Amino acid sequence: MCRIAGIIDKKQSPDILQRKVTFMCNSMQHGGPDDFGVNYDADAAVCLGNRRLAVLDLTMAGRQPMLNPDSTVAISYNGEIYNFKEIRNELNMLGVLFQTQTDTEVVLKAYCEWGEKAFEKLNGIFAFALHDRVRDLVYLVRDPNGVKPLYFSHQSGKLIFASEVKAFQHADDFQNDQNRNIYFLAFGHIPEPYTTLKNVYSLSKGNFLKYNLNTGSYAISSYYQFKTSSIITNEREAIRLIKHELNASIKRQLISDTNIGVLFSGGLDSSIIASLASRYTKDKLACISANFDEIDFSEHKQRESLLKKMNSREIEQTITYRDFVQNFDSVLNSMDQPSNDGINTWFVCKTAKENGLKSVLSGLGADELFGGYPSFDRIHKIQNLNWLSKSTIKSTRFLKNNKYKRLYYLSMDSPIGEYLCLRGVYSPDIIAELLDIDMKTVMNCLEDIPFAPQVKHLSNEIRASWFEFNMYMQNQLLKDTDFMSMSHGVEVRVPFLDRNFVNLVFSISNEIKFSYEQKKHLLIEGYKDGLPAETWNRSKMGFTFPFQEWMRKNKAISAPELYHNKRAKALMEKFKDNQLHWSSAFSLYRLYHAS
Amino acid sequence: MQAKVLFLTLKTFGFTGGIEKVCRTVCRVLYDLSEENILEPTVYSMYDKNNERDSRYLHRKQFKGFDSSRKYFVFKAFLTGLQSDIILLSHVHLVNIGYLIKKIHPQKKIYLIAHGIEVWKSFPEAKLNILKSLDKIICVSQFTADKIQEIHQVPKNKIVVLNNCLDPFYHYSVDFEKPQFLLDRYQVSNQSPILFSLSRVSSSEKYKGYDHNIEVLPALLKNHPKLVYLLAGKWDELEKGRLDKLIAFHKLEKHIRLIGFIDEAEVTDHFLLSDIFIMPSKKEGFGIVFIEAIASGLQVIAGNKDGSVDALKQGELGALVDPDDLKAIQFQIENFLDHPQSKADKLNLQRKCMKTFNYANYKTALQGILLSPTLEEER
Repeated sequence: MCRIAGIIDKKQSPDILQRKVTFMCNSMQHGGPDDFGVNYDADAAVCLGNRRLAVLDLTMAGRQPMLNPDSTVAISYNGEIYNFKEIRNELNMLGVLFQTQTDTEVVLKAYCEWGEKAFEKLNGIFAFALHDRVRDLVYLVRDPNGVKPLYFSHQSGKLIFASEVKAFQHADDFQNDQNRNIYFLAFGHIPEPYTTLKNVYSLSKGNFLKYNLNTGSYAISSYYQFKTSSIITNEREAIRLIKHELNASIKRQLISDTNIGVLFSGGLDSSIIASLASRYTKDKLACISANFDEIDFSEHKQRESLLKKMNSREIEQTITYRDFVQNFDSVLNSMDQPSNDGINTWFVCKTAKENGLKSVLSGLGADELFGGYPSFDRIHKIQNLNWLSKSTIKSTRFLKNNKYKRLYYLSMDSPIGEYLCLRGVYSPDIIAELLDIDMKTVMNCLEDIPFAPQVKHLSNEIRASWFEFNMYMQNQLLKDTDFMSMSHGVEVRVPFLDRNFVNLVFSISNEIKFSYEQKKHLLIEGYKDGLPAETWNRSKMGFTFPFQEWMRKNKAISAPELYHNKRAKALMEKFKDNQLHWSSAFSLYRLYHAS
Repeated sequence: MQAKVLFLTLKTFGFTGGIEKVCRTVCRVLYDLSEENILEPTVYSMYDKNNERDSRYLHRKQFKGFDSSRKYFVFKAFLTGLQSDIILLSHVHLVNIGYLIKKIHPQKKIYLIAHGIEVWKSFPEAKLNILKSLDKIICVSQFTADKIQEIHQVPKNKIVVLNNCLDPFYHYSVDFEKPQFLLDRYQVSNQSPILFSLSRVSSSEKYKGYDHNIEVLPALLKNHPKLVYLLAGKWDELEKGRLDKLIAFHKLEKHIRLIGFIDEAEVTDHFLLSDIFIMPSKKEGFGIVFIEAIASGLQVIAGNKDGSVDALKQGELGALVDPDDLKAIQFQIENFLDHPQSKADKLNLQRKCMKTFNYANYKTALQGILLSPTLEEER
């Protein structure tokens, strides 16, 4: 797992180009603390850079950027390919020889052998840049689930790319995207493909960007897309396959030449991961958890009962209000892009790092795949409002409750309105007041966000799942997890998002996948026999921190007098009275005091 | 069967004064004892909002804040009190509720925590009678216990002294380096000796002694020209204005920083930043801030005419001075400045403080007081 960056610019001198790429890489050193490399091809003016976090083949043989033996293809790569051994064997059979034990070399030689077709063979989390010096092409490739980030900018024949948006400021003068604050206040993050910078975009998951060095133009193509079907209709069969495929996924994702652990909240998803992973690790599995002095948030007892059953060692870190306050600025600085979440990931990954772990497994993805969120219920309720006229829906802006005010979004033509109604932070009238702009500007900006039109026609459950999987998980959870974990040089692996596992879940019929009576019914039925009852028969907790208490208590964040905007001040007064969620209050802090 | 305990408070979470700190610690004791299935607590706060509860101290089911709704508080406290075995009152203002319950159910145990100035004054006869009818008065210091006997003639066998303790979540540091981020924030050199006070800076409470500290500063600067005095605590505008003028009058602007409210997360760091904690106060019931400073290894100067004497263990943990004697204050500061502490000194002081004023001892002692038989029961 690494950080990558690069610039292709024929107008720039070699020295400046290499210096800029070096600066870009150095700005991401936290995510690649073990090594640094830059490769410059003078003929094509292509400069690739890499900061390495060595997880497989820790020797210098794994240095990057890596070139094939005849130096016709160069790669700068970030990620893990879980089936790299299978692909390597396949290549061996074709007579391809390897010099290292890395997956990087496998990707490089797979491309040399199969060209673009190689990309669809890769099962893992990755983002890489590949320079084909024979065909004068540069590829930027991102994994099918978009777990690893990859941003690019193409202006005046110049292509710049990096794993983090912040790195772009070392490459060129980029202006801020004028809509960034609207996105942030509406979503709580910047939705893909946008970033905080104008003309810097996120490459979509399962896509590759092909840049032609001769023409200076590029095209983006999809190489992998998950397809939904209802092939599996028998519950018992579905559970059997889920257990089989998740086992396989976890086995695959335990490949590492360094210690591996599990982010263990004590909830259902991480308990399943921990319980399965503990079967396949030689040493005791390190289970990272957070505990709190705050009585309402301590999950210590729930975790204890499972830990006793497993071959594990618990690494429990008590995180206090003092820790929160003293690390708050570092947490904010670790955010590559503004987010109103992810702080919990920062703390648990810090604990992982302090305990010598470079890789951890996480239960991320299970809620999105199996319907674990309240939005799966709420979507039915808001569908019942379909009979209301647009003007009636728009009148909800005059309601007092922030949650009900978000109903206004249902007046949008884009399905994004439905998502924002379910998951949004502030309603458009509040955003307009907070940014001192008119509401029409807010609505036009949100309506213009590109969106897959077919989503409108999906059934309620599938649409909710689509929103959670492609919007919330993609733009918030995965992005937060990546930059918060990589800020400590820790890679987070996500077994529920293994390509084969996602394919399986997407082929299970909705009738058995989403149950009204029990959320994540299939997972519970599949694993409840091996887990303590308190793990699966209670409401979702996850890594829930006492942020509501901590942020209210901390005057530097919550004091209304710090907020000069009238609406912001009023909202912080509400927060003081515990009538506003911490993530909404945190958005205001971020907007006014930490932008 | 577990004893049902009703703890009545005025404020517990919405304020950061000494009495509230004691209440929070008592809450945590009650919570811990409930987890051990020893008792079943309920805590009512007259002025706190329900959502002001700090969830480190108490489970949400065990707390209710009445948000200044005094009549409702009294009504609910009375009804719940009738169903409780022990009613613990955090303030003398609440004794009437205890008295009413006692009238109806004489077997209920009514205990009062007596802190400081709120009981060091004479009461009307009716209130005095109520005070004497309580089963126990738990005094936070021997000084307060003596005062109660002296002023109110409460029988000695009804009085028990339970010194306050360090908050169970107080952050200790064994690394006594001065935090760089605070040196930077206050633009103080690592070589400058630092005096530190932490108290409310209030126009209505002028007994904390910071005026005297300011007055002796010019004399101290002759031998210690780099000396800096950090005066911390939430201020009111009137007092802040007065202090600004006083500081300007003595031309001490370069040496005194009024740093205002300190977040709980940074309290320990401020003690570590400082070389001497000084608060020659005259009306402390106990002075939890002293033991917090000492627990951070800091040498302390306190007044010798109030409950501070208990906090400093009669001078074993710090220097006690006559709070009205400027020469004595100056002499003691100079003495400390001339004999800076080593790391071993700090560790030693910290250990002594924690041995005496730790939470575990406090919990055991409070449990003993709450669950031991009253005089009536012994008879």
